[in-house]
Amino acid sequence: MTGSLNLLFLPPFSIVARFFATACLFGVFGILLSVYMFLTGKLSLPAIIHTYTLGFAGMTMVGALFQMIPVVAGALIERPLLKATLVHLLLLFGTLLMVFGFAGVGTLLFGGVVTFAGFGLFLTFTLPPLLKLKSYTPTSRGMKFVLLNLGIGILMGILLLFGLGERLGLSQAYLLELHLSFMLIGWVTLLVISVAFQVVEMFFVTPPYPSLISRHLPPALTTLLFAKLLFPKALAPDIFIALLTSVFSLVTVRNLMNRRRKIRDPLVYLWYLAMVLLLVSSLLFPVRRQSWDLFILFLFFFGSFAQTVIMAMMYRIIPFLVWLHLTNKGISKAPTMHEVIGQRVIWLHYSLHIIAIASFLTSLAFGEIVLGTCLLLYLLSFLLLTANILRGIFIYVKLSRT
Amino acid sequence: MFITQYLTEEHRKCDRFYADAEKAVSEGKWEEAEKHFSTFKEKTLLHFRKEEEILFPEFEARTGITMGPTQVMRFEHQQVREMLERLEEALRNRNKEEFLSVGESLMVLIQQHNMKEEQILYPMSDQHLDREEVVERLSQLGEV
Repeated sequence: MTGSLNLLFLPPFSIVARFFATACLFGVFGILLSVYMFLTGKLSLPAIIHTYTLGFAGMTMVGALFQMIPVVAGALIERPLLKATLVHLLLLFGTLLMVFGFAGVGTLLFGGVVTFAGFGLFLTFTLPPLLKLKSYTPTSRGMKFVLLNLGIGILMGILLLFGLGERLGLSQAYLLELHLSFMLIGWVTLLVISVAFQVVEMFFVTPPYPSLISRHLPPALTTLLFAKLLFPKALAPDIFIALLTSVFSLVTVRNLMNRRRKIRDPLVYLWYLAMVLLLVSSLLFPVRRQSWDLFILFLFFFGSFAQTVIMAMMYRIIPFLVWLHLTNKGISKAPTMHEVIGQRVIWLHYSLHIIAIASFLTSLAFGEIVLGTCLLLYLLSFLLLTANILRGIFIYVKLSRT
Repeated sequence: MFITQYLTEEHRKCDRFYADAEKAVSEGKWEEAEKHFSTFKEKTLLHFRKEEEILFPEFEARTGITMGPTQVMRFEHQQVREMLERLEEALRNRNKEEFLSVGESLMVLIQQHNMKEEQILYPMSDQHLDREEVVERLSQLGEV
């Protein structure tokens, strides 16, 4: 009885588990790939970038949305396990084929089609329930724009891969600019913003976001992205985008400082760090086209922002779901969240993460001597994340069989 | 007044009561923690009573949906009640680690429960029920 009731809103644990575990493994894989490329001198930045944007961030966000959409939109995703399995496999193989393709193996186009199919399928399951909603919270409204932007972003990506833009009179540079903007700002940043509207206030007991921000920021950011469609070289949309995302990060920091839950929680500090990284990447966004160094710096700060939010998200979602699913299975005294992943190990990871970020910034000044240490620190960081998430999953598997 | 607005405000108030109890526990101020926790428990249970005695039956009678969201909400209320007992036990034993760990799970459970109510059940109730009358009857049970 309890199981069937919860099926209304609670998809099987294996869905989130498989997406998050795969994402962690992509995190480790990306570092190993970078080491291999540096050692052999065959560096491919798109291969490394897509390992993280698709393999790490994309996997996590799609997995989390399978969990969140039923709660946010109040709509059951029918046969979630089958749909999630399909999307997961398409994204997994699509990403691997694309990454190897970018590295020169010759699987790029096929990988692009498979990834496109994965995201396309995902959108057909998630966008309709959101569009059918009769009333919207800031989060559900924001997610509608997020999924729309994702659709446009992947479309630009596929046009780019197949060189189809030129037949339509669109240059590759134009498509690349739009692909990057829609994916990084319209999909990743706006998803974090939309989720934050709900989770920051509710989980940390903070004052609410001003309604000017929570109501208007998602459509405003999306409008600015559409302005870039018409005026790709104009600086003004970039400046306004940077302004809006900066305001969001500053308001979030202010809200967190005024939170009612005053306990020392590593997840609060991960959010603080993420907002500082978002602020820096926002300031770099309008100037990223001026030089290669600024572009790399923008990508690094943006990537670190996304990685930090993802860590905060995983460290809350996995322990909670392990506890909740075990409790629903009638296991008395199921391990609570801190027992699934201890606070100390999250603090340890928080410190390691900051040191890794600092080491990368130092390596920009001191070159290859520090770069080796930097890669080692990132490897340790992703291994620690993988170990913690897999530990949570194993606890669930072990106890659910007893 | 909208049902959504009235009951959402109760959620936020309960969150604040919990945050006060949690802070006192983390600082080792046990007597203060007991006082805040007792307020949190009393107000949370009052909020549940309002929903279970007035809102849910009204919703079920008006919409004919008896095995849908209201049943899930009742089930989750029961889960929260069990967690409240565990927290009370941790308080009695002055077990800070246990309180904070169980409290974290409770907090996330409550928040995902609240999200469903605020996003789905309350707006549906505003749509189908005489909202002024329902809010009036909810208020008669006391203030959270």
